[in-house]
Amino acid sequence: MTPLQALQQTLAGEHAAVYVYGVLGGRVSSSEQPDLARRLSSAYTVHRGRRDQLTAMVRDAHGDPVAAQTSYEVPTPAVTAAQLGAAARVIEQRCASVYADTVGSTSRGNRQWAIDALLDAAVREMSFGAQPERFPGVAELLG
Amino acid sequence: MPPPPRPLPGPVTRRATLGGAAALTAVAVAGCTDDAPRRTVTPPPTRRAGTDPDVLLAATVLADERAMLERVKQTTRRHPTLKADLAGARAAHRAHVRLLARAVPKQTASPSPSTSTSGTPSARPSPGVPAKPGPALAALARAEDRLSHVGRRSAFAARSGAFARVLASMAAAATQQAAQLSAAAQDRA
Repeated sequence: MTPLQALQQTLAGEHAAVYVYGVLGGRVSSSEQPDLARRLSSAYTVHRGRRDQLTAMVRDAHGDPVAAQTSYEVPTPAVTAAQLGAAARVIEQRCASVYADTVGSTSRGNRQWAIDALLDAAVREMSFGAQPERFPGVAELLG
Repeated sequence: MPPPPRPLPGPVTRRATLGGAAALTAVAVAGCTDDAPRRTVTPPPTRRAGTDPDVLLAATVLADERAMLERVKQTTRRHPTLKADLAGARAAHRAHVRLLARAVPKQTASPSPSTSTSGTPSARPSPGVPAKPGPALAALARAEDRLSHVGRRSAFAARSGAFARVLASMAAAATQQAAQLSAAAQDRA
């Protein structure tokens, strides 16, 4: 995977994350689940910011930023608080995997960006109830 | 004749790994089969063992991970009631140590923790485990946080992209442990 391909793949992941967090944020009750609502809102803001950063990073690499799809599948029914949290965990774990791939396919500033994003995703997934892993973002090492 | 100039670290692909770094990658992939361990064939190093910067980096990270694992064990011995709280950290660092130990030739496996990458060692010899469980957990959380910071730098510095990916994952694991232990410490405060 070239650095540009890695950045494009990460941008595609951010498009999906922004969409899904937008859906999740619309379904959470900020009066009944204020903590969850705040965490979902924070995650939405972070991923929207990363999407914009990646768009610029792709252009810097002389690429044409990949566009968002019109819709994405939400990973769970996303109705109850538990389902909303589970959907957020899936999103963060998918993003962690993409960030780890980007670490391996880039260098310098782009690699540093991906390392920091991976560490953030690893902690963020825990805020949605995930347990610590031995090798976050690296599926073939499991656990 | 001097060796040809090394290309600048431009596009790093997983295939662009040689020697010790390739061994690291092979080990990384084989590491998932703990129950049925495959023998990983370590390619002969293209240069003298110990001169590959990624192997030296792996040896340094291995020393840090071993120091962290030992610190977790010391805390468990001092506070047996924390065994369950510390099981995850112990398993994670043991997995990291096993993975790295297979990639580092014996003769390069014994640097002091993190003395080569900065003046601030990440995992100093344990200064002693605090007498109360809460502070003991908090001290471990701080050590995990330092390990994660050093791991970030190591992942950035790695020549091999595949190795950088694994190092970044280990740093992320330490960050998760720091969060988990910090929360556990607050629960016991």
